[in-house]
Amino acid sequence: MRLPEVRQWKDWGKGWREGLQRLPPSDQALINNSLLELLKHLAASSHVLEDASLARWQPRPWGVPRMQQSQGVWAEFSLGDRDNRARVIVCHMVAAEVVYLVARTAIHKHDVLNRIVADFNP
Amino acid sequence: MAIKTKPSLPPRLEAVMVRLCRGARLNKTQAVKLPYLVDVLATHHLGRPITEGRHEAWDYGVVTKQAWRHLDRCESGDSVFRLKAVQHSEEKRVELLPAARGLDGRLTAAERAIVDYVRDTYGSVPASELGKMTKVMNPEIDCWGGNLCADTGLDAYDRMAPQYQEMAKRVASITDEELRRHSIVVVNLEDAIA
Repeated sequence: MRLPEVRQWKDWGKGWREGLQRLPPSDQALINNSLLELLKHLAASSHVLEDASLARWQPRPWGVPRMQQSQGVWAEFSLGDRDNRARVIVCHMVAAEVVYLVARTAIHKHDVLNRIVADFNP
Repeated sequence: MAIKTKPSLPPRLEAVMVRLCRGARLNKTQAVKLPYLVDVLATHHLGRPITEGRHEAWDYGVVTKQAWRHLDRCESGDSVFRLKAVQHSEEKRVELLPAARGLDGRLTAAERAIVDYVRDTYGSVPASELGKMTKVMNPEIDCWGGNLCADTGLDAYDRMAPQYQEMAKRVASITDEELRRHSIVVVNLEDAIA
C-alpha cells in the first residue's frame, strides 16, 4: 500500500495558537498530543473516512457548501476530550494520494452564557 | 371547499418565539431560524431542548418547521403574531399582539436567559447569514432542502462557536487548485502541530 503525501495548506495554523492559548496549559498539551497522534495516523491512512485506525478522532464527512466543487474527500476530526475540544479539517485527494491539512480550531464555550445559566443552576 | 387551518405552535415554541420577538425587530425568516439556536444552546447548558419544535434542513439553512407553518398563516386565525410588510423589501416583520403578554412565563428563568442570549447575540444577524451559520453547524447534511433533522447535540454547539464559523467560511472558499498551489509537503509531523 502506498502511503499518502501529507501537505499543509498555507493557513493551516491561522488563529490556532491564539485559540489554544485561551485554554489552560494542561489542556493545550492534551489537544496537541491528540493532534500529533492524528497526524501520524493520517500519514499512514488509506482513506480519511474509512480507515478504522482513525475512529477515535470521530471522522465525519465535512460537506459545508463550497463555492466550487471539490474532487477531494473532506473530513472533520475531533481532538481532546469532552471538556477540552478542538477540530481539524482535512481534504483527501484519494486518486492523487495526498492528504491536505487545511484548518484547525480550538473550541471555547459560550462564556457569557455559561455565567448566566450558572446563576440559575446553583 | 376545505378551509386551511392555522397549524398551532407547541406551547413552549410559542413562548420562545414571543420572547425572541419581544425587544427585537425580527423578520419572519429570522424568527423561524433562531429557535434552532435556542435548542442547541439549551441542550448543552440545560441538558434538554426547550422548544419542542422540529428543526429541519431546508434550502436556505435550518428552519423550525412548526414556526414557519404557523407564521405562514398567522393572519388567518387566532395567533399572537402578526406579519407586517417592510417597505422596499420582500420580507415581513413579526409583530406581537397584546395576547402574547405573559406567554413567555411558560419558560423557566434559565430558559429565558438562553432565549435572551440568542435574541441579543443573533437577533440582528441577517437571515441569510443565519442560514449559512446553521449549514456550517451541520456539515454532515449533504441534501439541503431534503428536510432532514438538524443536529442539536455537542457537535452543533461546538460549530456554533465564532472561531469555528470563521474557520469554516475560510475553508469553504478554498478551491482544489489553490490547495495544490499554496501548500507545502509536511516533512516532520511535529512541525505541523506548532
